[in-house]
Parts: sequence; C-alpha cells; structure tokens
Amino acid sequence: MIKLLRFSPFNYSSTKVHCINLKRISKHKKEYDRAVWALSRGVIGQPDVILSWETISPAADTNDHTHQILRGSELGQQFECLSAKKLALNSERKTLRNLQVPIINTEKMLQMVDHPSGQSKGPTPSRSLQKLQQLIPDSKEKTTPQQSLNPDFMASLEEWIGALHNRVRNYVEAAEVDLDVSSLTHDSLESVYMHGCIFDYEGFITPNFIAHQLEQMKKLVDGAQVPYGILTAWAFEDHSRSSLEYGVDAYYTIVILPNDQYLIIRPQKT
Amino acid sequence: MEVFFPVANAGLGYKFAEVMEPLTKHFYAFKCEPSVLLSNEFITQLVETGELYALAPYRKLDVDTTLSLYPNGDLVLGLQKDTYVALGLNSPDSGAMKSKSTLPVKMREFGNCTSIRYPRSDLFIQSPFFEEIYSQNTNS
Repeated sequence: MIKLLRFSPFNYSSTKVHCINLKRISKHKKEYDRAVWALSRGVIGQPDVILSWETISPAADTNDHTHQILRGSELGQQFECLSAKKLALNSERKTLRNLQVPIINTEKMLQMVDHPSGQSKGPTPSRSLQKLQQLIPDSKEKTTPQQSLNPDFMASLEEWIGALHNRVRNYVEAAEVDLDVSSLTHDSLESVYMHGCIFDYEGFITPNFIAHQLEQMKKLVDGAQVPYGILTAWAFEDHSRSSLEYGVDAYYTIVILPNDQYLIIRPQKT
Repeated sequence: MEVFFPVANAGLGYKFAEVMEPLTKHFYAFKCEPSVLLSNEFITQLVETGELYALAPYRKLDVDTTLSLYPNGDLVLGLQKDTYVALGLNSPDSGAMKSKSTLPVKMREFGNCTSIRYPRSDLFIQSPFFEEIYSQNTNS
C-alpha cells in the first residue's frame, strides 16, 4: 500500500516525504506495480545504501522482560544479488586515568518540589529508550511525584559528561577551566578520583545494538562491578518525520544506576 | 556511540570488554536503484524475516534525495519537489489524489475572483434552489 502523506515540508527545505510500506505493498499488486515503475525509471538514481539486518529468533534463554532475542545475522547468499560490501563496526577500548568522577546517587539527584505536575510530556522516546523502559519497568514508579531532579546537579552532570566525551581533560580532572570552555564549576558535584573505562563504537548503529549494550551495562552495574555506566549515542539529525514517528533520536545520554534506576539526558525538542 | 564506566582499577577494562562485546559487528554497504528494495526476494528474505534498518548516507537533507528503511517495512523517501513530481507517484490517476485534482478546475471557472465568498454566493444565485425561493418571494 502506498501511503501518500500530507505535504508537510521540512522546517528548512521544500522536501516532500513519501512512504511506501514494503510489507503491505507486496500484497496489493496495482500499487506495487506502480511503485516499481516509479522507482525503476532512474529518477532517483542509484544511491549508496547502508544496511543492518538482524533476525528475530524465539528466546530460549529469555528473562522476564524480553520476549525475543535479536541476533546479528550474516546476509550471505540472500544478498549476493546486490553485491553488498561487508563493513565492520569500529570498536575501540580506552582507559582514561585519574579522573574526578562524580558521585551519582539518588539523594543528590532528587529535590522536593511544591507542585507535582505528573509526568511531563516530551517527544516520543527512541526505540532504544523504549527497550530500556521495558527492561526496567518499575523504575518510574519508584520516584515519588513530589520529587524532581535537582537542576543544578543535572546541569553539572551534563556538563561533565559532555566534557568527558569531548575529552576536555582539565574539566574532567577538576583542574582550572577556561571560562570559554565552561562557566559551570564542580561545586554541585561531589567527586572522587577513579579511572575511566571507555568503549567507543562507530558505524551504522541500530537501536537493537544500543539496547543490547544497555543490557550488558545493567548487568555490570547490578553486579556491583561498577558504580554506574554512561552511554551516549549521537548521529546526524534525521528528518523530523523519522524522529517523531519512528522514535529515532540523533543524540541522547543514558546513565544506568544501581537499584533499577536510570537517567535519560537529551536535548529539548521544540 | 560511547560507553563509560568509572573503575577503581585501570586494568579492569579487558574484563569488561568481553561483557560489552557487541552482538552485531557488521553492516553492509551497496549501491542500487531503489526499485531493488521493492523486489520480492528482498521483501520476503530480508524485510519479513528480521529487523532491517537501511539508509542512504552522506546525503544532505535539504537538497538531496534521502532514503531510509525501518523494521516495520516503511521505506521513507525524502524527495525534492521536482523529483517527487517526476516520480509519477503524484499523478491525478492516483486514487488518493483524485479529490485534490478537482479543486483547481473549479477555481478556474470563476476567473479572477479573489474572494472566497463571491464564487460561493454566485453558485447559490445560479442554483435552482435560489430560483425557487426567489419566485416564491416575488409571487407573495
């Protein structure tokens, strides 16, 4: 079936969005023939495409929260007709020594507020965030409605995470920082000297990939091997329709904390 | 994507590397006409049997044609206006567009009328319903 969308141009261009659902269109011959005819005339040309494919297999060793396991699959013979080039994800492990690592605990994060307004309405959570919420179903209930995140603490934490990912060593090590780099100070962060273990992944990263890494992080945190874990994913901005309908976020940070708690930090969308 | 763990011992990294081993280590790159993505083999063997993500990289959203494919089977094309028209998916023969294509024809009938009220009132005056009311009023 071909779904013709309302002509809603992007905010910054006259681009039009056209959506074809491949699963449905194959059952409607007329629409299918029309779409094949339209796309095979060379109007769009031959774009480069990158692709990731994961088979869904019934979970044999499933836990309470996941109903199926996605396994990275080799395309093999199924893809020979396209002569696809196999590319490897870049993964790298680094160690940063002697960092001033903030202590993140619930008492510091939360503050009492006078007017509980319930859950704030925000953009649709991304697929990996939805999977995280499935993974930790009770975490929202544990936060009472009278409590809200301490803005000073959160601002400092966001700044610290940003400095960490950008390798602003002075800031992360709590040394003197140029005001051009950051106007925030470490005052609201209680920190301790530790080392940092960093895993860096580059390539075509899918929400399933991120969800799996989150599960592994949670295992490490629950096993008390690390006090917490921080995952930051960033990518180029997709068009607004993808962001809204498919929950694809281009940038977010998830902090996995002990006791089934987590923080999600992402830019406010207008 | 980056994952950070604070650790007391710097040598623990190799131990965590086993835990943080990703499930998928590869992705694929190819060059093809978009119609290949509509082929029966592609749909039955890849789209319907697993979760498939695809996109056209290195494309500028505001000037280039973009393409992305999601696990629910949606192939989303971001097209420039000219390309969109040239594709032919927007022709008046398309069932979904029929109601829209009739609107400009009606507008042309009223020539240079700029007001929306004018053609409507004109239509009303010319209608048999108006003539009936008018004749009733004049007779009384």
